[in-house]
Amino acid sequence: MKDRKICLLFIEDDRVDQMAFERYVKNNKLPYDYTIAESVAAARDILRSNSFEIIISDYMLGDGVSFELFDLFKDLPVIVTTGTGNEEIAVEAMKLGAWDYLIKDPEGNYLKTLPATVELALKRKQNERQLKKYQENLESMVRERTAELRAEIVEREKAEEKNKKLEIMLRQAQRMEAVGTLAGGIAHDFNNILYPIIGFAELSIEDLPEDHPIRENLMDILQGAKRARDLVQQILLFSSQKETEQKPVMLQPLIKETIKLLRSTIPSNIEILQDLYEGSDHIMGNNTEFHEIIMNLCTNAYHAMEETGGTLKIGLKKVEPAHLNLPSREYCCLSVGDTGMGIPQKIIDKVFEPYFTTKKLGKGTGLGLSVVHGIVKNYKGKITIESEPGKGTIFNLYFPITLKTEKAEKLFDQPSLGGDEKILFVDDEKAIVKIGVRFLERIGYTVTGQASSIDALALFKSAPDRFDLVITDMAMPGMIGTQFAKKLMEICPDIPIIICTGFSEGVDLETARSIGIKDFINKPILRNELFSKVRQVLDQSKKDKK
Amino acid sequence: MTKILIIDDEASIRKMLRKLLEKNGYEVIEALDGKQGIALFKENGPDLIVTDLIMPGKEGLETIRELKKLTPDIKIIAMSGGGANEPEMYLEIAKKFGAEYSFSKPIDNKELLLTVKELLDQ
Repeated sequence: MKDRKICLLFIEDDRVDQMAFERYVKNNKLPYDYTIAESVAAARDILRSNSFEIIISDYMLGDGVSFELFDLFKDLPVIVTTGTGNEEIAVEAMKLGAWDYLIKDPEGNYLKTLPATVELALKRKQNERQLKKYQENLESMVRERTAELRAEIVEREKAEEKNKKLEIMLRQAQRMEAVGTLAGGIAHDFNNILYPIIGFAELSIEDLPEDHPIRENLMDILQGAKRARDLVQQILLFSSQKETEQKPVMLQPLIKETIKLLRSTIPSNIEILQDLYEGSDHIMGNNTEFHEIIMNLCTNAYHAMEETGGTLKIGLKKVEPAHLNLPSREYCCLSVGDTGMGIPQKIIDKVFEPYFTTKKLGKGTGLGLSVVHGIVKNYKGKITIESEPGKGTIFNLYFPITLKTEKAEKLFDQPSLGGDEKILFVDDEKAIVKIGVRFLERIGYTVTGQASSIDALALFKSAPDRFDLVITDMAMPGMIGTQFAKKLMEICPDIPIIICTGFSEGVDLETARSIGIKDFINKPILRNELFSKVRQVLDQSKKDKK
Repeated sequence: MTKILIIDDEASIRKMLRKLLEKNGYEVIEALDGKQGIALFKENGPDLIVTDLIMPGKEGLETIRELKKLTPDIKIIAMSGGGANEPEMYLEIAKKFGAEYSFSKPIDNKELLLTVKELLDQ
C-alpha cells in the first residue's frame, strides 16, 4: 500500500493555487497520482474517460461551480476548497454532498491539512464500501432465510393437511371398529334369525309355480335376507383385528370346490368355465380368505351378467410378470372374467374403495372389492383390471408362489422324530386307536392298533419280538393299563411301554417306573408330545440293549 | 327311511330344517339341547346328526364327542351362528372332535342337502 499512489483529480482554475498544490505534493513526496482540471468543462471531459479515487475541487471555477459536476462525481469522496470568508459556502457544500472542505488561506497553510483530509476521506470511503458489503451480505442472508421459512411454512401446511386426512381416516377406522365390535356381538343372534328366514323363503319359493303372484314377493324377501347375511359377513371380515394365519395353500382344489358351490347357486343363463393349470405350486395364505376372494369376484361377475346371461371364466396360470412392478419371481395368476357390462375407465380406480358401489340399492354392500384388495395386499400380491364397457371385465390377481409346501407343514417339524420301529397301540376307544395309528404311521412307524387289551395280550404273546414298543391306555374295562403292562413284561421283560393316562387316574412317574413302565403321556394326547416321547423311549431302549 | 336328528336351541331353525329335510324324504327328530339330543339318539338311532355348537346346558362340542363315542360311524354336521361369541375356529374344532362337516349359519338349503346326501351315501 505504501507504493500505491492515490488517483486524485484536482479541479482548480487559479494558477497560483494549482502551483502551490503541485509544489506541496512534490516537496512532501505525497503519493498522489494527480490530474489537474482547470474548469468545469475540462473536469467533465476528464471524468468521462478517467477514473479517480478522490476529488479535490474548488467551489468557484471559471465556468461554473463544482456542484454541476456532482453527478459525475457519483459516490467518490469530494473535498471542496473555498476561499476565506466563504465558510457558509463550505457548509452548504457539505450539505449538498461534499465529504469535507478546506478553507484556502492566502499563505497556503491549508495545504498542510490536505494529506490528513485526503486520508480521512479515503478511510471513510473504505468503511463505506465495507459497510455496503456487509449490508449486501446481510440482505442476501435474509433473503435466503425468508425463502427457507417460506418453504417450511409450505411443508407445515402440507403436513397439517396430511394430518387432517389421517384424522379423518382414523375416525373412519374407529367407526368401523365400533361397528365391527357391535356386529361381532350380535352376529351370532343375527345369523340364527336370518337362517330360518332364508330357509323358509327358499322352501316356499320352491313350492310355488313360476307365475304365482306371491313368488316375486318371496324372492324379494329372500334377496333381502341374503343381503343381510352377506353384510354381516363382510363387516365381520372387514373389521376383524387379528392377522389371519397364513400357511401354504394350493389354489386348484380350492377353486374347484368353490366352482362346485357356484354351479348350484348361479342360474343357468350363466355358463361357468374353468381353466386351471396342472401343478402343485403353493401360495402363502388362508383358505377362508381365498374362498372369500373368489366368491366376491364371482358374485360381482354374476351381477354384471344377471340380466343378459353370459360366461363366467375362472382361470389359474403360472407367470413371471415383468410389467407389474412386483419383485421378480414366479406368481400364480388367478383370473375371474365375465362377459357383462364392463367398468367405465373413469371409475376403474375407485372400485376398491370401501362402500363404493355402482350396484342398484339392494345389491351388494360396496365392501366386497375393498375386502379383496385388503387380502391381496396382505399376501403381497397385486390386482389388475381389464375392462371394456359392453364387452366384459377380467380381474387378474397375482400371488407370489412360495417354496414351502403343505407336506412340510403336515409333518412334525423335526423329521428326526420319525422312525421305522414297530409299535403296538392299545386303547378301548376305537377312535383314539385310529388317530394314534394314523399319527404314528405318518412319520414312518409300523403301527398295529388294538381296541381290546385281551386281544392285544394274545397278539403280543404270539409274537413277542414283533414289537419294539407298546403304548397303552390306563383306564380300560377288564384290565387296567398297569396290569396289562405287567402281563406284557412277564412275556418279554424289557419291552418298552408307555402309558396314556387322564389326570384322575392316579398314575405318576414314580408308580409307573416302579412297575417298569418307561414313560407316560397325559390325555388328551398331544401329537408332538406323543412323537417326542415315543422317540425318546425307543432311543433309550436301544442304548440299554447295547 | 333315513333318520336325521337336529339339535338346536332355536325353535325356528329346527322348524325350518324339519320342513326342508322332510320335503326331501328324510325322517326328522328334533332336540333342543345336547342332553335331549343324546337321549333321543340312544332311543332312535338316527343315521345323521345336524347340531348347533353353542347351546345352553351341554355344549355342542361335548355332545359331538359323546355321540362319536357311542357310535363312531355316525355322521355329524356341525353348525354355528358365528360372531364374536363363536369364532370360526369352533367350526374347525368341531371337526377335530369328529364332525364330518361344519358350516356357518345361514347356509343355502341346496348346499346343506348336497352335503347330507354325500355323507349318507358314504
